[in-house]
Amino acid sequence: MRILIVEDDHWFGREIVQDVETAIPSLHGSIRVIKSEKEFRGVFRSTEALSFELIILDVMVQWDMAGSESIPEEDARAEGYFKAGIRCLELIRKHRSTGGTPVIVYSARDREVILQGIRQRQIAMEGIQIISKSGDPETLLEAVKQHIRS
Amino acid sequence: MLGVSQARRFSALADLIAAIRRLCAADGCVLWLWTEQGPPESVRLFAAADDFEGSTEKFWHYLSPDSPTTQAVREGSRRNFETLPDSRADANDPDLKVMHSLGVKSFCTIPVWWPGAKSGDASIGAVNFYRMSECPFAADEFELAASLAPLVPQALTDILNHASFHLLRQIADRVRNANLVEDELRPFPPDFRRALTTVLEDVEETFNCLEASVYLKEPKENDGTIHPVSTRWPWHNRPQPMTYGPGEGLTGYCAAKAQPICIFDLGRFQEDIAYIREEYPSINWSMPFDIKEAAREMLPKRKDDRLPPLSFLAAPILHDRQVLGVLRCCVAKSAPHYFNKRQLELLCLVADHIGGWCGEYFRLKRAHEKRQWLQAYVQGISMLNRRAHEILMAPKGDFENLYSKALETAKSALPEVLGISIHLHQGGSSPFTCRGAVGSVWQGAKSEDERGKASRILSETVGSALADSFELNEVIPVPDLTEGPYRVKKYLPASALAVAPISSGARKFGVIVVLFADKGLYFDQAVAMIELLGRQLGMYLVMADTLSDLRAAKDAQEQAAEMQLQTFENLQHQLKTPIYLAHRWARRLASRQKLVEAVPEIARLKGQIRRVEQIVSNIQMFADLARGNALRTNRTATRISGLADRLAEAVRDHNLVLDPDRNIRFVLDHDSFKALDDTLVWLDLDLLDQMVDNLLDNAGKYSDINSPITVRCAVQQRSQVFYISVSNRGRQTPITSHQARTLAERGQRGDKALWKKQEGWGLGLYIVREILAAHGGKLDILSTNENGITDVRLLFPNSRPTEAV
Repeated sequence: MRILIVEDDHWFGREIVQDVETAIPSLHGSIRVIKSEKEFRGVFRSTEALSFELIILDVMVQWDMAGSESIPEEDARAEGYFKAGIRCLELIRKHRSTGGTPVIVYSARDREVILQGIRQRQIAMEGIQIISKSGDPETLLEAVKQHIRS
Repeated sequence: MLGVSQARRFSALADLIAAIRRLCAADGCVLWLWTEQGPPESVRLFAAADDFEGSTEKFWHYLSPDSPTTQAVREGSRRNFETLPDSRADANDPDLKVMHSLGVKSFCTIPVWWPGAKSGDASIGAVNFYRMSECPFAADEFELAASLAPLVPQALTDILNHASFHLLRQIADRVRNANLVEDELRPFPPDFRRALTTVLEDVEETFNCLEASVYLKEPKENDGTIHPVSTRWPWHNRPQPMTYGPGEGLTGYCAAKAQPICIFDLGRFQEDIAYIREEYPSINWSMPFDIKEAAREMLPKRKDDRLPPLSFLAAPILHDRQVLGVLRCCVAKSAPHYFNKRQLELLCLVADHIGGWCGEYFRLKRAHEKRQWLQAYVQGISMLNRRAHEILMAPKGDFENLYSKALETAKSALPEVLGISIHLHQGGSSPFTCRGAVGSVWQGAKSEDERGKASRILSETVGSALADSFELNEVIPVPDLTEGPYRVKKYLPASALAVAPISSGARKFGVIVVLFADKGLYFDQAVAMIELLGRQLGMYLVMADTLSDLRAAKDAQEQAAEMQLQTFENLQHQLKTPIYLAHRWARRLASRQKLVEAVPEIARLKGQIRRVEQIVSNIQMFADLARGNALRTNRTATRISGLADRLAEAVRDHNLVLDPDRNIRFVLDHDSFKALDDTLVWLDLDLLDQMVDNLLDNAGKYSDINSPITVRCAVQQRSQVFYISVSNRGRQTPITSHQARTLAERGQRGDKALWKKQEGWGLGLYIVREILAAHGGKLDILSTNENGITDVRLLFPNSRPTEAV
């Protein structure tokens, strides 16, 4: 099983990987962390996207960690940085091969704000779980374990 | 008698003469009247009416000035010629010849006067009685003739009076019933012409003339030319003159001098020219066609081919002392209609009627045109307002389009002007020139070249009028470009001009100019119109400025509101991340059994706490600055060399905040320090830490994660200024110099698109700049094209220890 984590804060990215690999040693080396929306879109243009069975998404994600280019105007107008994770979620759902892939939205943002963003983009909630970063890290680990069991 | 036809009316005169002839047992009777052309000694008598036993042919037209009848008339004494003078004694006397040819043996002549004539008045002619038998008029017969003769002028007067009254009444009816419907397309519409034709039919019948015409000036022409508006022209094979210039021909003379004309006999024009010129100085008749020949075509033929008098009348049509045109009447078909002063007076009365009527028509027409002009103007302004509204409401108003619409409005309301143009002031305090034409319409000029030429002529010739109108903020009408302060010496295809300022209150934008080929009837209205148009445009421009300011304010307000929202969201996010991490590590720390195992978590916790401290400190400083407070500093004198340790420590601490794995290089340029080893820098060291934190945070966030961040501490060789620089590889496309300048503005980043809806909240560099400013230092942000390196440099003022003391 491969897991994709979209997280622009290197500390949090590192923490999630470390926690998951510690709790589920079989996943060691099967987790890919990407730090920007641009990088995420690159992955979703390749066949690599097919290999992920679980995606953990942050909501506020930088467009380009390397700072090599500006966010497209269209995306900037669509609340840019603040809704980057929602746009990634929409891409996942629209993609024929990844449409059914389970997603955990793991963010510090308020749950209601995230739900509103999802509704605005008319994304079905099926297979989507929202977990707050403020909570116990175990919550995320439990959710990941559930997906492995299923 | 009023109800009878003209022919019957005059046949009554013939009947009267025939009855008198029979009563006097005469074979012939003739009413002779003065021609009235020329002085008394030269005037002739013409046969106004006659009756001969058994003959219908007219033998006379004139009596010679020397004839016995003429002499008797001139003396006002009746005479009875019992025998005719011997024709052989005066073989050249044409009258004797005629009488002999008729077989006249004796005749008597009774001078007559108009009814009501006073004693001493000249007689108007005579009634002659002729006998073909050798039986002259006896004394009692002569007395009878003398008593009956005055009945003839009495009857003629009555007939003429009744005919005049009838004519005037008819014309009054025509005028009253005429439908004066104005026609904007034609100066003289069909209804108007038809009404005039009926008047001319009446004139033709009353005057029994061959031709009658009304010539009028066109209301919008000022050259005095008159045109036929309605006519009774019998010569279908001969073209009628289409115009008469001022003084051209008898008709043109009448119009130019506003003087009625009566020529008794055009057939004798050349013989009578001396007398005619006394009455009508400088008159000249060009004879457009041979009137004698034309008359012969239309009049009954006589055996001797002699023509009756070819009379001509012309009366000016006047209204308010202005000549509108001419009513003319030409060649009576038969006696007694040959035209004299009495007929001229009647024609003048008719012309006065027509004048009053035409004047009323022109007044109506002008009123209608004025209404139309106002309507077109109101519609134009309404359309312009709609267009202006659209343009003003659009985010980017297309004012060129508004100017062209304004010109269209002016053109539609003033179709006869030569050109209209709009000139805007170039701005600032520069004097007004008319080079800045933003639009123009030229009626005559079709091509771009022609328009350009017209525009150049305008600027070269009447530029001062435009400048004055602009400077004085007043409309300047120039009704005559050949005189006055704006006189044009060069040729200009215009004779009048009006300039109006485009302004609103004291705010002046430019001028609108209208050129007229001639002043015309509506100059004053045109001036008022462009004045209004100028004010209208001025108002639009003021509104545009106001709206632009309002839009800018609204944009700024929206932007500020959006920034505030983003700031809160960013702040929330930036604080939540380290707090959640700290919370996570604190929990993990609690589970550690040994202190040595807890060291990494402690270090990480310290980094995140510093991260929170940095954010809170930035917020506090920002809030202080936003309230307008000056930044408080606690500066101490620090040796330059001593700063290195402090900086190294700050960098090391920040490494924990940023990422222990991130490559942050600290470079201390010792060599550059040597010359200034004892130099002091006045610094608030806590604020220095904050600046370094902010710069490193910024560099870490907006740079390639794999590229190193370099912190350099050195002294500039040339200026001997101490500086700290933080450089990193940023974008592959370096920021522009403008972006570099604005990078440190509050809420700004290198790229506007990035600023909007981007991560971070952009306070870092702003705080750095403010701290530096509080230290008297300067922030330099350099962007090199090579490798996309951005170098943020903090320049500090320094001083010698003694100075510091």
